[in-house]
Amino acid sequence: MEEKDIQDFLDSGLLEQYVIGATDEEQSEEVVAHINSYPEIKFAYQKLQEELKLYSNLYAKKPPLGIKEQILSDIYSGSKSKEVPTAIPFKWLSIAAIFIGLAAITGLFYINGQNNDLQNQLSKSTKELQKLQVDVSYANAANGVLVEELDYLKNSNTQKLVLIGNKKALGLRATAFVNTAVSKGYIEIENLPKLDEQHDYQLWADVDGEMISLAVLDDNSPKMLNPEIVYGASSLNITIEPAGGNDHATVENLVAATALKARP
Amino acid sequence: MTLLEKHIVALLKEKDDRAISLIYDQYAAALYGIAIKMVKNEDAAKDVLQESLIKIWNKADSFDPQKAQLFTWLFQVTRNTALDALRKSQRKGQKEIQIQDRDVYPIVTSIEQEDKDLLSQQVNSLDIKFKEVLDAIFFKGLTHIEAAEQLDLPLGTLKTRLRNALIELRTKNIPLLILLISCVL
Repeated sequence: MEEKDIQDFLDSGLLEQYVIGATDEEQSEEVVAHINSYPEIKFAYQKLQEELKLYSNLYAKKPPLGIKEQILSDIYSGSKSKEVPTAIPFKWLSIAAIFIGLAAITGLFYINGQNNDLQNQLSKSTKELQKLQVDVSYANAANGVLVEELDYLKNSNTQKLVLIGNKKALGLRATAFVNTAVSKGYIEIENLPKLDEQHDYQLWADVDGEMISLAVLDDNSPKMLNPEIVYGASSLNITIEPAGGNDHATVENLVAATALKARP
Repeated sequence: MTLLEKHIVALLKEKDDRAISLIYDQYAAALYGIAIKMVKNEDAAKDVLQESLIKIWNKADSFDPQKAQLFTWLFQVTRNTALDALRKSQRKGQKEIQIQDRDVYPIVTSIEQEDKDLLSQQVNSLDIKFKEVLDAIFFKGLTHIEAAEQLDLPLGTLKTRLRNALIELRTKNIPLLILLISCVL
C-alpha cells in the first residue's frame, strides 16, 4: 500500500468507527487487516484509543451512590435481569422445549418398546396357553383311559390270570385280564425272555381239550384277547412256536400255564 | 497496557469479582458520562451503566487485550448498551430520539447548550468547533463524510479540524494524562 493509500485509509474515518465499535463485521476485518499490516495504521489505532479515553474522561461524572453495590449484588446473585430480559427466557425456553421434546420422544420409544414387549409376551402366552390346552386335552384323554382301565380292573367280573415261565422260559411273566360282561380281555407282558429269530411265544386257550390261539407274543406290548374264548377255556398256555405263530400248539414246548376258575 | 489494566484483565478472566470493583473505581465516572452523553437522561444513564458493567462481567471472555485496550472495550460495551436503551425507548414512543444506524442523536448544532450542565471545566476549555467534531466521531459514530455533512463542513476542513482537535485534546489534557498515568502505575 502506498503512503497515499495509508493516508486515505486514515482519513476515511473507518479507524475511528472501529475504535468505538461502530463497524460491521466485514469492515472490522478490513481494519484489523490494515492494523496488522501497516505500522503507521497500528500506531494511529493506539493513539486513537488513548484519545478516546482522554475525551471520554472529559465528560466523566461521578455516578449516584449505591450503584456499585447494586452491580456487585447482581453479579453475586448471578442476576441477569437487566441484561436483555427477553432474550434469556427465550433461550432457556428453547432449551427447555428441546429437553421436553427429547423426553417425549424417548418416552414414546420407551412406550413403543414396552408395547412391543407386551405384544410379544401376549403372543408367547397365547401359544403356551394353546399348548397347555392341548396337553390338558391329552391328559384328560389319558385320565379317561386310566379311569376306564381302573374301572375295568376293579370290576368284579374281571379275572386276573398270571402266567409264569418254567425252566424253558425263566423270568417270563405275563398277566391276562378277562371280563365277558364288557367283552374285553388283554394280556400285559411284564417280561419275555428273548428267543432266536426263528421262534415266538404264542398264547393259547384250552377249550374243551382244544388249544385255540389267542395271540402271538413277539414283543412286550399288551395284546387284546377274545374274552369269550377265554371265558370258555379251562386254562391259558404259552408255548414256543415258529416265528409268526403256529396253527397247532406244540405241547412239548409249553413254557407257562394257568388254570381258570371253575365256572358255576 | 498498564499494570493495573493487566491486573484487571487477569481478574476478569479468572471471574474474580474484584475485577468489577476495580473497573468501577477506575472507569465508572467516564462510562457514566458516556452514558449520559448518549441517552440524555441521568436515570436512564444509571441503568445503562449498571447493565454495561454486568455485561462486561458476563462477557469477560470475549475481551481480547491483543486487539484493543481495556477502556476501548468498556467504551464499546457502554455505547452499545446505550444504543439498545435508546432503541427500546424509541419503541416506547419517544419519537424525539432519532435512531438511524449510528446516528443516535437528534441533529444538534450547539453541544455546549445541550450538555452545559454536564461538561466539565476541561471540556468547556476545548474549542466548541473541536468538540463538535469529536462528538460526531466518537459518540455519534459518524464517518468523516457523514460528520462533514452534518456539521456542514467541507470534508477537508473536517479532517483538519479533527487532527487539530486531537492535538488540542492531548495538549490541554497533558496534566490529566499525567494524573491518569500516575494513578494506574
